Amino acid sequence: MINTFYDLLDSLFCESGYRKLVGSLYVNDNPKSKDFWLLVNDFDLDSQYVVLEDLLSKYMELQAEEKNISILVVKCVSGSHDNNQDEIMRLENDAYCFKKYALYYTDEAWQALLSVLTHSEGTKIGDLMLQESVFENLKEENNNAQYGPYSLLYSIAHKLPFLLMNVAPQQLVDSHYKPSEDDQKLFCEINNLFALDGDERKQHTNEYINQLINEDNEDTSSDLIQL
Amino acid sequence: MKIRQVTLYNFKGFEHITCDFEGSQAIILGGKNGYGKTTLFDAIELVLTGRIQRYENYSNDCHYGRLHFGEQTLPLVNNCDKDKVGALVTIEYNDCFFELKREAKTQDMKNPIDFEAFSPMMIRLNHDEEWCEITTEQLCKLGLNYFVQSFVFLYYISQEEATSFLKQKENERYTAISNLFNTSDFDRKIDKVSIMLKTLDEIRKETNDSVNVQQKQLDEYTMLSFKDEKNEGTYQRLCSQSRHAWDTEHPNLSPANYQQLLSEDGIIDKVLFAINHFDTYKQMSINNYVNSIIRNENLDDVAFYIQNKALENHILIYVSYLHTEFDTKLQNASITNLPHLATNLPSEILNIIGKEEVKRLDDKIKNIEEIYKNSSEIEKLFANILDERKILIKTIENKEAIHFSTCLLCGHDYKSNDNLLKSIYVTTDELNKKLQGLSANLPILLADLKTDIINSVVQVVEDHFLKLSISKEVAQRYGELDISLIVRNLGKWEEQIQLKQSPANSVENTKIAMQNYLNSLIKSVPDDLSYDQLNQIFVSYVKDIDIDKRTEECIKTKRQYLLNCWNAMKDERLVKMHKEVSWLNKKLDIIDEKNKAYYKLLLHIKNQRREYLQKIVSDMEALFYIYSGRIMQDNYFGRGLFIRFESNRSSVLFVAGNPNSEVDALYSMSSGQLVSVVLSFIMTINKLYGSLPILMIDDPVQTIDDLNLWGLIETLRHEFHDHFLMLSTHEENFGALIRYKFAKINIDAKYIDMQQYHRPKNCEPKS
Repeated sequence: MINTFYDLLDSLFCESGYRKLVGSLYVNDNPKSKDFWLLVNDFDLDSQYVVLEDLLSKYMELQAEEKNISILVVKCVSGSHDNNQDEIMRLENDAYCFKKYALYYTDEAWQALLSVLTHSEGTKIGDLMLQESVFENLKEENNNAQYGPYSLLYSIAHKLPFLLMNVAPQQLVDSHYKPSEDDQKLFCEINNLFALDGDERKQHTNEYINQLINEDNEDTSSDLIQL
Repeated sequence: MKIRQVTLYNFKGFEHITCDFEGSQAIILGGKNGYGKTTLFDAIELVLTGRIQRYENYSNDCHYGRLHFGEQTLPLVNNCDKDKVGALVTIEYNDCFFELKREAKTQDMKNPIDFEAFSPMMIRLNHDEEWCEITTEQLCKLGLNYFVQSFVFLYYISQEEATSFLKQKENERYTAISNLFNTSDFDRKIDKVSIMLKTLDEIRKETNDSVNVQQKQLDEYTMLSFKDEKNEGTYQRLCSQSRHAWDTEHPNLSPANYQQLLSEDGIIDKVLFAINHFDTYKQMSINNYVNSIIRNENLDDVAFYIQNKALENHILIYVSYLHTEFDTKLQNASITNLPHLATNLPSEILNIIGKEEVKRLDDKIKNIEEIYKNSSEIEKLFANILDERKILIKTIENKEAIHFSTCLLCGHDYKSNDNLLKSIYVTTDELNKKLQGLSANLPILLADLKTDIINSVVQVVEDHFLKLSISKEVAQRYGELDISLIVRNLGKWEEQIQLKQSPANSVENTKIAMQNYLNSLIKSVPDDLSYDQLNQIFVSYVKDIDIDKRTEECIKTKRQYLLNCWNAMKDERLVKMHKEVSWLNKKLDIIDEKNKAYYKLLLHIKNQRREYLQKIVSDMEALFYIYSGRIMQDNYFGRGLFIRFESNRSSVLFVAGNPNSEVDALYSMSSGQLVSVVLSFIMTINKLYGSLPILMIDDPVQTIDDLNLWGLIETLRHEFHDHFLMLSTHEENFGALIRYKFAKINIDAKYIDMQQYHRPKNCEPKS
């Protein structure tokens, strides 16, 4: 049962093959994979070495996983989402110890998203994002400069790279022009007249048009072809 | 599907290499620039598609002279001495292995690059079999047809394509987007039809211009009317000495020269007018001529000449005498430069003086010259003697102690020095007196001689000419006249205005008679006629007309003849021109018809292109938004890019933030972000439309920063976990990181350092 944003994230980790190792530390459940994620509700960059040492001391299996532990900072904020951009940028651009992802949200956005998810129960979140109507809603939000449920939804996709987009293979539209029968004839005509050199092209076209007139009216043309 | 092996022989920088990928899921090609990473991508593209897209630009570069291949080097060929150049790709698909290859005979390779030399794709299912050309059916059966056809669009992104948005020019970006969305077939056709429409426009304009010209001529011919004077107007040549087009028997009359000749105030009218006013014109000419003589000529001189012309021979002798300036020479002469008559005076003057008198006077001159000569010599001798005597006196005076009683010169005994000195003094005084006497007579003799000559020559000559009524003043003035000019003018005037050279009783009266005659020639003419106008007509036309043809009747006959000619020609031409205009109008109709049809065709192609782009954009926009957001973590607050088809621009717009924004985000992005956009794009369309799990990216790292690289790696390793991935990078650390991160989620990644295959050899074109 999903009640909180954390519940949603936990379910997404589980759906994507991660299990909780301890607390909010997730590990890829595949025995051949080693991919760790730590969920926190706030993160102090100045103390990240302490966090790393603490993790390594507690969990020996992380010793060999340098540069393979990602931190997802999930933080509920109030007011405009854009107010926190500096903080998010600082976090995500920090290159030390962990790869950091910042997923900030407002309670209003989350409640609205929860409502959307409830209405589309049974649909995987990755599939939901690829639905045209859902994407249209995102565009509408962006158009109105709002950070609403759909922005939050797609932010989840941006911040959780393991969240797979299950795209049904589609047939590529033919990238070649498909002419009608009449158009085909016209195009053949153009191909016959076409030349890269402008004068040559003009000469071909002129001759062709003259020929058409002559065919149309041979009596007249016999006098005038010499003009 | 996996690529298991790539073999190159005599291809680009490699003589022969085989890169074994050993069944790995991901291949990361490493090594420094120029070690052949891209060559492997080129080889795979060549085998699968038969061409290398990025090389096709080289043809243009060669065309514009930016690239040159040496005579001994050929594109793609490692060694021109080897027979063949080619590449071979081993593929594992559906638990089957097969090899595909394309090769060309080295001798068939050309500069600039030409992929026609390469064979069709060949297939071999195992090593023991022969190579055979693969058919479309076989490709379909193998499930590769769609893959091969869409390889460049969906499965592979070259370095050039990844950086295509770095180009700043609008048309280059348009081309880049066209390539990215694979709309080149539509675009080529749109270009072609658009060019043809322009060509039709040009032809239409030219045809329309021709119609206007013809119509104008037609109007001119139709409008030009003439008076039918019911005259036969038989042909008669008016100018026998010169040739005018209008005077020929078959004049070529255009509307322009019809107007010039036959219109009111045309040439014929002017000629008629001039002929009708010929007398006035003649009188005007006389008036102008006479006025010019009166105004410009010195009639005093002319009258003086006429008056004295009868005595011209005598006057000229006198003039020649005066020119010798004998009188002046004589006056100024000293005894040393007296003018001899025989040599200074003309023979006619010597005759007037008389031979004997001339001889007498010249002898007298010679005589006085002789006296002067002798006197001079004696003076010189005396001077010498006197000088010697002074020395002698001094010697005697200074030598008192010596007794000089006997003269040293003559031997006379003077008894004492004093007596001797006294005698010397006395003799010296006498000598001085004699010397002065000698020179004192000469001026007298000279004055006498000059008086004699003046009386016998100057006076005689003046008297002689006075007797002939020729004064010295008359002769002098006559000598100053420009006789040849006066004679020439008088001859002309006599011929042209019959001016007679009759002297009156005086110069003044002669002049008055001349003036009276000239004034009598000037007659009044009508004020309303212009001499210049008449003169111009005469000079331009009438002067060439034979004199006997300068009649009103002849000119009118000519006018009628020309009108008849014009009439005949006009009808014939009108029919012809009507036909021409009708033909040109028909041509315009056909051009309009074609224009309409081509424009409709253009719209059809554009519509299909639009539908194609709209469909692709609609298919990909959500996934692209997600992928671009994942890769470009730090861009637009962690959000992705929207992609929108702009029907107004018939193009695709990448926007950030507001999806309806008109601002193209590509213009505000860094080079790394632009590369990330292209990578997001290829990953999106590969995921959407790729029928086989394979993705090849040549140097994805390029200019992107570590944050974007991280997003790329994460997206690749999760979203394309089941794909065969082939990547390259010259950054060893990035290569290692990619392999490490792939391995962490169980992707078997193989790092191949291309250095192991590298043999230095420069086969690249020099730019």
